[in-house]
Amino acid sequence: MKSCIFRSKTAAPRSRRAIQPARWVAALLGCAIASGFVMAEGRAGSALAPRAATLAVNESPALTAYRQSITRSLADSPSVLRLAGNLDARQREAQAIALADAKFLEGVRDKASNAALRNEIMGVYSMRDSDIVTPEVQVCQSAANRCARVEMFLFAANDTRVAVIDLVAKKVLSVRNLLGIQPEISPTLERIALELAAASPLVAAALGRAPTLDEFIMATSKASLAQTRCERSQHLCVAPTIVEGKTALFVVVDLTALKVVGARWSKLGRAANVPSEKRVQNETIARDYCDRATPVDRNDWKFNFQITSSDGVRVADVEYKGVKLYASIKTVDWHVAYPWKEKLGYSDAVGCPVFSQAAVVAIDPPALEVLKENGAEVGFSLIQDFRSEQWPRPCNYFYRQRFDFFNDGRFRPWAASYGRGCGDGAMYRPVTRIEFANMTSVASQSSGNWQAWPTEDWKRSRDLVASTDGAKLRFTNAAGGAISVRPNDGAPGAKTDGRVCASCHDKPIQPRPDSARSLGLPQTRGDDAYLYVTIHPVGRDEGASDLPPIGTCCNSDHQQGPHRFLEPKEPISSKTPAPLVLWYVAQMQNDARQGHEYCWADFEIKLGVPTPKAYPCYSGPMLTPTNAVRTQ
Amino acid sequence: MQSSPNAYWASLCLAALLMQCSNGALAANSQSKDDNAGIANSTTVASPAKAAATATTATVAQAPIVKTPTLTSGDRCTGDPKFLEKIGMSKRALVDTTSSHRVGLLVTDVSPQGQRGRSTQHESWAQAGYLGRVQRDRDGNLYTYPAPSVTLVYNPVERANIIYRVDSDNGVMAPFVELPKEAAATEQNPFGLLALALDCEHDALYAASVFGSTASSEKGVLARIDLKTKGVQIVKRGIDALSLLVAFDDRGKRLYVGTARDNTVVSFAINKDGSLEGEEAVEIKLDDIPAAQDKRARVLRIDGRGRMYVRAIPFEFTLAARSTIPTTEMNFAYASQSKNKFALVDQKTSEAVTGQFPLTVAPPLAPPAAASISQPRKRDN
Repeated sequence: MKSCIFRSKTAAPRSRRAIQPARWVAALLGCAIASGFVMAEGRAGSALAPRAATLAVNESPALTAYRQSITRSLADSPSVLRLAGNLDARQREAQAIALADAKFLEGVRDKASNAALRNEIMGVYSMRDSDIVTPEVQVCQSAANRCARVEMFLFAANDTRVAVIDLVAKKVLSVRNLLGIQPEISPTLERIALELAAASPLVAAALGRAPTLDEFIMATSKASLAQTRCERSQHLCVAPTIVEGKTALFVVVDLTALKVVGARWSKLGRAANVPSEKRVQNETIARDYCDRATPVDRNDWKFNFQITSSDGVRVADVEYKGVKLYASIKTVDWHVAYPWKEKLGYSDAVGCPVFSQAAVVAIDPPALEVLKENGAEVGFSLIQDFRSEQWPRPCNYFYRQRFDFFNDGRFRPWAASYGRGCGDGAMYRPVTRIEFANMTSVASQSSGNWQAWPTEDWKRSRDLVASTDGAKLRFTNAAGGAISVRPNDGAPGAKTDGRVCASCHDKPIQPRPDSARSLGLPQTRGDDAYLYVTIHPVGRDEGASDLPPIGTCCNSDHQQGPHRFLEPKEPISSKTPAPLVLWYVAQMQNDARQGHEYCWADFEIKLGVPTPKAYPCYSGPMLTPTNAVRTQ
Repeated sequence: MQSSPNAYWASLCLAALLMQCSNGALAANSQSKDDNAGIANSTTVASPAKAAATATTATVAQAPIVKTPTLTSGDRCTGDPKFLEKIGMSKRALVDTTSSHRVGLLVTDVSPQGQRGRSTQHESWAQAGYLGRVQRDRDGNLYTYPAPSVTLVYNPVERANIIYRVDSDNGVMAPFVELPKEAAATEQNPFGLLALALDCEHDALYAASVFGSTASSEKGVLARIDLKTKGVQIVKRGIDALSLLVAFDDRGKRLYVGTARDNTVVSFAINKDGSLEGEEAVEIKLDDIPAAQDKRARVLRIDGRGRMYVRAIPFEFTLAARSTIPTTEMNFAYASQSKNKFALVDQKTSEAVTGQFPLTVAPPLAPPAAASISQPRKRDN
């Protein structure tokens, strides 16, 4: 597939049925076929929409108008988007009575900030006999059409609220909250869902053509109150469907975020086949990125990557201009230690969303992005996220692996935390393993010269002296090639903000050419990393295969897990050279103070919906090969 | 061969009588603690002898009240651990293996007013790491198994097939039996044993293990352990199960199994020798209930009205940590004459449910809180 997606240019296969397929539709069709999403022998499988809108999709007038109406409703009082369309007098009156009731309007604004939240009247209905079940609404039986039912969806809470209105007495008889339940959506939203589905490149790729609106049926449009299809994101989702023969393409549309989540072919017949957001996500990621390695060939770099069971993304067999530099790179663990209680913390593995040992799993597919430094394109990045479903709520986590491949041969494996964790003052220690392909010796600076290490060993970055180019370790091979390692130490001489903390090291950074900021990343406060170098003879594992959590969460010294491979410290011998492994354990302390947030996340109200706002922290060394290695 | 009809009905009558007597008075109530396991901020599920948790209210279609022969659980002989009295705990004490912060088993006393008191942990109770659900036998011995929580640091996979027993007399926990491993441990699957169920009639324990299963290969087994001889008999291979229940219905004695892969509850007939007879019968398809889609049956129980209570949670064979666990609770009435023997019913009225309700689902997520220590990772063991 996957090479099809990750090449910068893709051949456009012919569509069999389309009259005038857009080139991008045809390109995606080729990718979809190769991915297995569209299979030769039948249609089956899931696919996810790209992480970001990498392909421009023209927004329909209806969607634009709907967004504008949301914005207007947020400025309204109450901040509720009224039901539009041809309402009769009864419906209008029932809606008005409901919107004047304090109990019905509870929670339409954020309690903490009083910011307007997004709410929408989804329907005004006549009462059904089955609605008249409680004493306070018995009066509705006294006359036909005496009462009406008003349903409102609270997007922020993902709840439905139902009011029963007595149109004779002109009052609200009852208000019920249906927690985590979504209502039948309004005609406007139904139209929006269909337009989003019809305009989705994913859907076009699955069908081999661009569908029309009237081909879709709304599988849940006439269902009664139902559980959301997007339980993971807790968003309002529906599943417009196109039936083709004995199969159907279900498209999961997120009406909170106003986007297509993914799609799935399934056989007709069972309600079960309408997919959920989670099912589409898990199936796609497991099939495409856990069960197989994905090759990448781009900008003189060749490698493959795979999401592992417990070691995050493993990038392997990394070549630059035909020279193999790295056997594998992966982040084995995240140790999170909390300061308020000894040994309180977690040792988290990250990995696949099904059949894995991961505590924090991949929910979104990986992405390749252009890498820019000071505004100029300098390479590309491979990005994979792992997150708890309820992030950024407390005690939920979001980790990112990002691999920067520079056009000039530099390479940086970043390990980032986007918070939130269980509280302030936590220390995050990602454990990254970098296995060199053929570097067999290592040296550090001493009196201005590179001094080889005679044995395996560990050092704290702050205790190593930097060379003139900032490198603190230098790996070499018998042919004279070398790769220098520059830990991410932040800017020298940067001032602290005076925060008193025994082990914290916040240092506001002045931008440097190679700092995270110049790469468009948030500032980094430096890693204060532990570096371990071990030998890796043929036949020895020591972390090459998937590792269970290495080390416990909460040691504050060098005993972070890799130290075990130094017991005893084996010689690094030129007579019997063995490839070396660099273990890099960064230390990043989070900060929840307003204005100083770091490794943190919170919510902000955007368009009436709590939206994550992250203050990530990034860690990782820069690896720079010498000319000798590059031209070998 | 199944139990004779006379014996079956006799046991049914006796079980009904016992249910009335034991209603609300289950000693050393490990079940009620297990009921609460992993359901953060959700309504409390009462003990099996009582009605299940409060349902979310909603509109349901009018339907006739379902009157059916009731189901009878096969584990209604459990006794109180004798060591409780020796350590000064009441019979109301909770046996708890759900703590995220304390590894192993804990016993917490409960006052007559239902308030929790002191907790205690025997030195032997943490040896197996985090633990799964607890099953008692008629003598008050406790049986449990290793169940990893978020990490394998305390739960090496190699030991995931060992059933541990806490002696009723002295409270000492020790390995009891180890199930044979059908396949080697794999990094794809951190689990082994996942469920236990008591068969009072023969003083046997049924156990389910998924040890060695992978995404492409279902290697789970169902085993029967004779509690007197410690004999282990594999009664079914090639099935990954998340919950078990021995129960009697009009077909006789059956082993109900919540499958870990297929979102179903199936059952097998149990022969006199404890082996399973014939093919599985698919009893409940959770996927047909949108509120339970993507979830698996984690708890199977017969409630006070002879209905099948099912608690469903997400399960993907990972250690994914959650601060709240989305849970769906359902009750099913048994209809012997019907082709589909189990019908989703209203928890309170037993009316058949044609919509999504009433089902108890985990309440919504708490609003975003200020920076604080809260909502530690929940466990549903």
